Amino acid sequence: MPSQPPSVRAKNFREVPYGYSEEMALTEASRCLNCKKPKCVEGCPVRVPIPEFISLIQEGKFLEAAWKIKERNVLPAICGRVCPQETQCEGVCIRGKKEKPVAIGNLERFVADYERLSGFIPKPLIVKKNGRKVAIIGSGPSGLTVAGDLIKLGYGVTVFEAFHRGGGVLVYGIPEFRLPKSVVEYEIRNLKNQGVEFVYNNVIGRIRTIDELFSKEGFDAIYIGVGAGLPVFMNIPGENLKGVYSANEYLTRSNLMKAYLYPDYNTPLVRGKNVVVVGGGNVAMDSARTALRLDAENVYIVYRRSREQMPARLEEVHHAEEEGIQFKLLSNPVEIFGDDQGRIYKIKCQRYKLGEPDKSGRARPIPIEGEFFELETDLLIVSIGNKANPLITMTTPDLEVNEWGNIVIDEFGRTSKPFVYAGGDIVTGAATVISAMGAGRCAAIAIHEDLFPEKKEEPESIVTPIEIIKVKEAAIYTNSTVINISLINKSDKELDKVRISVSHVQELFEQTLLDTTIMRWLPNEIHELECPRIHENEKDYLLSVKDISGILLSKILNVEQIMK
Amino acid sequence: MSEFRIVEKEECVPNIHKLVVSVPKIAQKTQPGQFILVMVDEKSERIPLTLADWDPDTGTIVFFVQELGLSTTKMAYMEVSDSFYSIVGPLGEPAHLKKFGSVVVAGGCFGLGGIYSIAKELKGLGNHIISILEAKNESLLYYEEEFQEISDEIIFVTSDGSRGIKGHVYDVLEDMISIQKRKIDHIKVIGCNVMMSKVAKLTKELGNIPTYATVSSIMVDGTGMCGACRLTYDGKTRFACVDGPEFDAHKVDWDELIGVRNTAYIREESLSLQNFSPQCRSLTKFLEKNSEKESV
Repeated sequence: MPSQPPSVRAKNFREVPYGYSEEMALTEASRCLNCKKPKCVEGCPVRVPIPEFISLIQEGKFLEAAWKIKERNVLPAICGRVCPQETQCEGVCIRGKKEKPVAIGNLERFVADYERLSGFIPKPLIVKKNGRKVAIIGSGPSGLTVAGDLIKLGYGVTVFEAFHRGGGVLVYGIPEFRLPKSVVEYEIRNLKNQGVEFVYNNVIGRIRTIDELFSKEGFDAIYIGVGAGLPVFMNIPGENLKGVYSANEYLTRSNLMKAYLYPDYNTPLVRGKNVVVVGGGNVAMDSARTALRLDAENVYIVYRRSREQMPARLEEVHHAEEEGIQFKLLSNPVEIFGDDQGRIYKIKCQRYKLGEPDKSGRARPIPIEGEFFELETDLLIVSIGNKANPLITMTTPDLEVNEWGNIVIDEFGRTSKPFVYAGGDIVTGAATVISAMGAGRCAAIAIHEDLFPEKKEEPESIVTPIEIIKVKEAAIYTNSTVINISLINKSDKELDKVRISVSHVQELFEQTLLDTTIMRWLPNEIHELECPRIHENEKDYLLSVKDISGILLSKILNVEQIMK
Repeated sequence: MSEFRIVEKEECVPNIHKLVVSVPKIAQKTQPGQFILVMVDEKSERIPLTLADWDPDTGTIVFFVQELGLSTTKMAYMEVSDSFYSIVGPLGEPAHLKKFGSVVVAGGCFGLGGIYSIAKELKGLGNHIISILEAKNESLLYYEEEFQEISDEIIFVTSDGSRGIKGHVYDVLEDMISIQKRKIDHIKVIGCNVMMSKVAKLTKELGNIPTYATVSSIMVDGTGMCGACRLTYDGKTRFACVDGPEFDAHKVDWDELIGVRNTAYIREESLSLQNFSPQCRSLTKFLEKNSEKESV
């Protein structure tokens, strides 16, 4: 993708890649093989229908391609820019085995930008309100995903945000040159158009507790997506000196408070000549590249392990390197020295070597005794991660947390407290935007299931609603005690959490013979089931298939017919 | 009606302004010792201010601002019915309050407002309240009537001796404890960090009298996310915004807080202030009116 030349972009805050032109998008899209069993979709935490949207690009239907993505991902312009594609969709792309994988992220970005710049503002869907209210705490990627999913299901959705602007980490953490804030604003405006209410300047845990949101404000469910907001420091001497920042503070000042425009914007930021950033993640790269753009002469990344173990996105490391960031690998600061004004002027680092892999599977860094070096520096940014922010868990004693303070959830995002759900970094610790969105989607489904539980009684008449699922084959083999049923997803949509049950009804007595849930069902995918029979004389079996939006199939299987 | 509207404003003494702002949600929830983060306009910094009073019924909060840097100067230029861009709160842990017995509440300069809410609550809990109010000059003492109402004893102290005792809060305390041999069970203090550090040093030497200070720190988000307000407390790093702002004054590393943490942006602060050129308000209003007339 064409980008600003490194020497130019290192001095401005404009976005680095320019994005594809239409011709380039068409060329890149034509490389997609449109695989029958697309690996890329499996690699995506929210399972974007990748081959489908790329085929639409091939046909020149860019808007339709954007809408196709939006069926599964409410924030494509953001994901196209910040997802670690190389470990997800692009990492498993068949084309990547012999040459470069299809640039799925760039294409996603292209269609999302095309939609935004086309001036097409999606018309708010007219959804009948279902009368339930859901509070979402935090307007970061997971919160926005839950909001987008629930508003479509008819919920009243209110998003509480501690800051004066929405977007969470997308706004305070990720710099302008990587994710323009206008992109985030556009997505939030879309959600507002659809009816999501945003309440800024509200720190939940302080202005209202979780319990008060239920009792005083009448919410029916609450989703906690507050991120991991408690910076980890190194606990070495000199860490409180002037010119030592947590990456959170440095980036918040620069991005949210726009300190890079100081003094027009009033929030100041120390501008260093020789800057050291400690850490190897995306946040470290963002901090280093921000410092470079704020007139630093030398910017060093100091990281304990080697390049291969860096958790940062490949493109970010590559961009940082192109711009002239210097990597001091296998080293870690042990002391920070300050002058008589309390201002940092140098640090002492210890050299490391790599040992056996640790629990995370990465090689464990081992300090080499007696091997030190010093770096002159007037600005140090500590970017070694975040712990869970305790503001909400502290004021909600019945919310179970683990030993690190992260909220404990089940696989669908339910916490230990009824009708309270959580997802994103507050659950997993620092992770990616897309995994937070995946967690948000999961929790939205759980919220809907809990607030509108399936009615117990089975439908009286057997009217097949929309034939999304069809019985492809049903058979009983000779001497078999089971009925073999194979079902196919006839729609062009991927289905989540499909519940299949087979029961036998005799007079008023109903016996469930089979009850199974399929988490993800791709279009045209076939699932084969084996259902036990009760007795040879019993001939009718009721097959029903449901997902959260309702019944997909309801059919009586008659054994005699099957046997024929 | 916009949020965060000023309903009352008064320059109670030169350069110190009392602001009453309508924020019902915060007024319903605040406890003594908590603070808010304020942004005057979209380009402002976020600055922390301790709340002096609040009224859940009218939905208003009261705080005092000393004109010092850019944001506080901007506030001085605001008028009734103007609105703040953002007010977040209540933040921080409430002050540690119970029946202690004989309690000294000491406030200096901008701290008089903050200590008032604490004193009021302590009085309600049945403590004997000795208020010590400090200012540079008699003309800079404010909120006197309010303090009279809730204090059992009230002592004024000025740097130039123009009212009450000449000196500082710690001079009064030293006199009370070592010369008058008064028994004091607990001390609460809000003011500049230098004054509080000296109080802390004194009360530690004079028999470790429990002393709690509300520290002044530089903050950005106020929720523990950035660490700008970190300080060394009992040898460990603590965040004023979530662990404080009230701390056991004997355990705070005051030298670091005063000399290092809080002076990080002195250069920028004065530059910001020099850059500030407030618009002439009457001219703006005049122009607004004229344009309204034209449009009519």
